[in-house]
Amino acid sequence: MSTAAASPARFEDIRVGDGLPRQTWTVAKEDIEAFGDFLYPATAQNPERRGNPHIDEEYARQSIYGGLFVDGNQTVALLCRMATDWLPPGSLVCGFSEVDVKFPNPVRVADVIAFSGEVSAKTTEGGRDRVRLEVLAQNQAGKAVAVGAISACVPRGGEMNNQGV
Amino acid sequence: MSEHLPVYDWEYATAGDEASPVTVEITADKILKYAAALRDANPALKAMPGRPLGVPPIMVRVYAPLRRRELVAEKGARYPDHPTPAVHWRCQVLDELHVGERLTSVTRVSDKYVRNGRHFLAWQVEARRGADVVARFEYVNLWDRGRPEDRNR
Repeated sequence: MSTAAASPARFEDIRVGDGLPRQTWTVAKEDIEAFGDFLYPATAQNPERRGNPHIDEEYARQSIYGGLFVDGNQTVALLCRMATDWLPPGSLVCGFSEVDVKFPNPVRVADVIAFSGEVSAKTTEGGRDRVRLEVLAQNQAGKAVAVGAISACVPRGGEMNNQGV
Repeated sequence: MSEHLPVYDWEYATAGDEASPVTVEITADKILKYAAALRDANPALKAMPGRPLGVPPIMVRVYAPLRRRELVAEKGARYPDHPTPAVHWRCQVLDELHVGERLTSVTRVSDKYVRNGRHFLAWQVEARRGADVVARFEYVNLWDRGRPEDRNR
């Protein structure tokens, strides 16, 4: 991945080859629980909590995986956060986006995950500006835990308007 | 009793299996909870007068819920009693999405396949605004019990 580029204010400021500032995450059980509470709220009717290997510690411990592992949704969310921390305001969350990520290896508690990304393409189609980012998350052993691409629509004028573009 | 039901294992699953539709509203509360859980300081995810909240891609899991367990129950089976790790996550948002709108989604098993001796199930959820698909979520899980070496991966 290339050297981190300054955060662009507008689509015009983005260049193919720009690197995103790396982010790291030391995986804490509290982070997993917070995300679990968001995605699998603790309600009596929610069937997604019991037997969930991301939040049900005893179940995860007894499984063949031997303990909790991070929800892939959380890894994707953190890749998206890295993207939106760098992209112009309103990007990615204004619709017309695509996220495509594979998980070659699991993420476990106490792992140190490094997130990185690079601009691989810029396009303008149908009046919409888009940026494609190649993204990667690796653990402390250098193994890829998430690899893929984020295609984000970048709002014109640097702010999301009521039309979302 | 559910323990007498067949397990929705890879053999039992059929591509095309579908759950009944569900309609979910995109709420500001849920987006704010997402930002808090992720400690995401993105200004587009902060409530500001006169400016709409952004809808992050991961919100597809809320407005177009995966509902695997519901699908399994509707197929007269019970959910496997082992973890089913995700191996692939893909979401396409095909339009602008807005807080307050209600989207109707359907979950289906879109594919089942074997790779390197492991069995995978692919799921697809399409969220519609009326007749129009506005988001499509695809998710692939390892559906096997896992192997001893997976403990150390």
